[in-house]
Amino acid sequence: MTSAIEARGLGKRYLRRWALQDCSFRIPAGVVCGLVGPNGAGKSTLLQLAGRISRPTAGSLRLLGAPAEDLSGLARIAYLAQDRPLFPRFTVEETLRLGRELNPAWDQRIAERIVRSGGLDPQACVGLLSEGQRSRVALALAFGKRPDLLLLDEPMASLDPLAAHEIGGLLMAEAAEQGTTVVMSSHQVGDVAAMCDYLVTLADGRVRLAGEIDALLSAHRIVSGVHLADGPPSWLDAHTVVETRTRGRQLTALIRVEGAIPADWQAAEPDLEEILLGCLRSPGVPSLFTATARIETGIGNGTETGIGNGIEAEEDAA
Amino acid sequence: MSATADALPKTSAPAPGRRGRRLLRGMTWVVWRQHRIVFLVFLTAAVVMSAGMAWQRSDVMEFLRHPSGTDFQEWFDSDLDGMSRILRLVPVFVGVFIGAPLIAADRERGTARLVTTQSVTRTRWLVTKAAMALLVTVVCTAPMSAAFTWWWKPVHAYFNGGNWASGAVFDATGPMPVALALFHLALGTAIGVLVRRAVPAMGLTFVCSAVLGLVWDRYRLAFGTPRTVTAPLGGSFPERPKGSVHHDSWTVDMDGKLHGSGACSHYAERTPELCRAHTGIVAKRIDYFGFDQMPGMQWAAAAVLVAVAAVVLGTALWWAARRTL
Repeated sequence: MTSAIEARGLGKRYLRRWALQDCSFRIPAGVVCGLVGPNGAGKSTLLQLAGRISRPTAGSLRLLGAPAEDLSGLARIAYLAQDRPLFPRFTVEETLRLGRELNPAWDQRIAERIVRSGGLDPQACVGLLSEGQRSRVALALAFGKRPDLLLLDEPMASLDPLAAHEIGGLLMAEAAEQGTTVVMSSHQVGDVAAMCDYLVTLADGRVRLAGEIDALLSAHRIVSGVHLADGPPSWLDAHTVVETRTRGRQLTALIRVEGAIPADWQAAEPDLEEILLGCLRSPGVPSLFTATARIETGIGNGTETGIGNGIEAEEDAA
Repeated sequence: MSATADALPKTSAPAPGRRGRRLLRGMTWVVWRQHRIVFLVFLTAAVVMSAGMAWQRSDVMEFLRHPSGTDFQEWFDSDLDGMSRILRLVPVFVGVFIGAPLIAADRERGTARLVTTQSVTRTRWLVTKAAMALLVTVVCTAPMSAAFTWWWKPVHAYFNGGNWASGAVFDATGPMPVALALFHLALGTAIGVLVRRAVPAMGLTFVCSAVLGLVWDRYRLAFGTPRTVTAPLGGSFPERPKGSVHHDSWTVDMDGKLHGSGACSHYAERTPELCRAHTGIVAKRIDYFGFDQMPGMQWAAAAVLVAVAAVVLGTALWWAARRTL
């Protein structure tokens, strides 16, 4: 399986602060990957590195199989910056012409379609548009480039619900028809759950979860049961416990399944939000990578666990 | 969603390459479109002023056909002087309004990231920007300088009292306005790369230009070797050739050693013999630059300025290509 993004020991330092540190993961080609994490977790930094806006301080980054420094891949990667920079005195039409002039594989049809379905006047001055409308023009530029890898920094932010739905549909269609790999950061877990099939979670500049969303979900269970003694029940030691909560005699735990669960305990598959929140609330729990997301680095950092063969076997059987 | 949207683009199918407006393409078009207001203001001003100067020259020629003593001061000196002041400000304007925002504005607004995440390399973007700014600078300053030189040349003996070594003439004629403008363009661009914000970069460029202008005033004449003429003490003052510019005055003793021009002032009132007896000074000497030296000095100065500009601009662009935009 070819990878769209392959990071090894990737780090980026701004002055004294590491925005991203020791990140090793892979995003396979053809997926729609959500990039989630709290504010300041390093999402935008990662997208900037992948968009070649900035250079890594440490480690290496490969994009679509070539090193990030390789300039031949410029036309294959599109990047939508969080602040949607556009020339304020260009008209919408001139902004699209910019895309046409600077990109060999430019697709005027799709760019115009995005602009027009937002009801934008091609002669309107970009500086006078609303934030959401500017977002739409910037998205038109990114889509019109016809990239193989589409990097979107919070694409849905500042779009109205209708526009967000439309752009979401467009993203899915692009990914399905053109095989475009999409990596989008988002704060809306709902958007990620609806659109993405792959997930990278960052916290404090490190990767916490990476892999197919289905595999990540099925690696976790929410177990609940009656527990009378103090402290967690001993059978939980066999699993990785993400977090536990007790209410009266009822104990509920989010665990990564690594063994048997007693029959008198209820086990249910969590949803994406539960995993994300649990993972972000428990920084001490090891990072989790699925087989396609894991990168074998020479510098073995012992803090990560992988989803073992059991899960892959399950997938094969399904 | 897609059903209605698909139907729309048909109305604008022949959009690409509409009319014959395809003179500019690719990055050149983007840079021109982005900076066209500033570029057009400079180009228009250059055309208007060049034409104005060429027209004024006919008045000067009329005057020369019927010279009448002090009339020049009265009628033409202030015109030439005003234009010379403008010509000496043009390089500063180029640095402040073209150079400083050239890269800084794009970094401030984030449009540097917009352009360099399209399918062109950062180097090509930077080089295209610099090349177009250089082109506009040369296209603006060369005709203005040529027109002013053409206007001034016939009356060089009159304007500014014939003193071509001051900035009013030296910096406003021949290759100098172009070289100074290129230097200031490089300066402004480099400051913009360092400062990353357009307005502070423009302010800083202006301040630096003012300071460097003072420095330049001291070294303007370092590009020529003065000629000398000596005359014995007590006689009339040494004669300089016509059109030459006085540079320095000395007194010389019997061993050929130089003394200040005032070394004999105590004695000169009485007799040269008294001065000679006390100090050994026997002659007066004047250093001057001949009018024929002017082009050589200007071209040497221009060459140095352009070389410095090239190094500054090259370093700035190299730096910008490597930095986070």
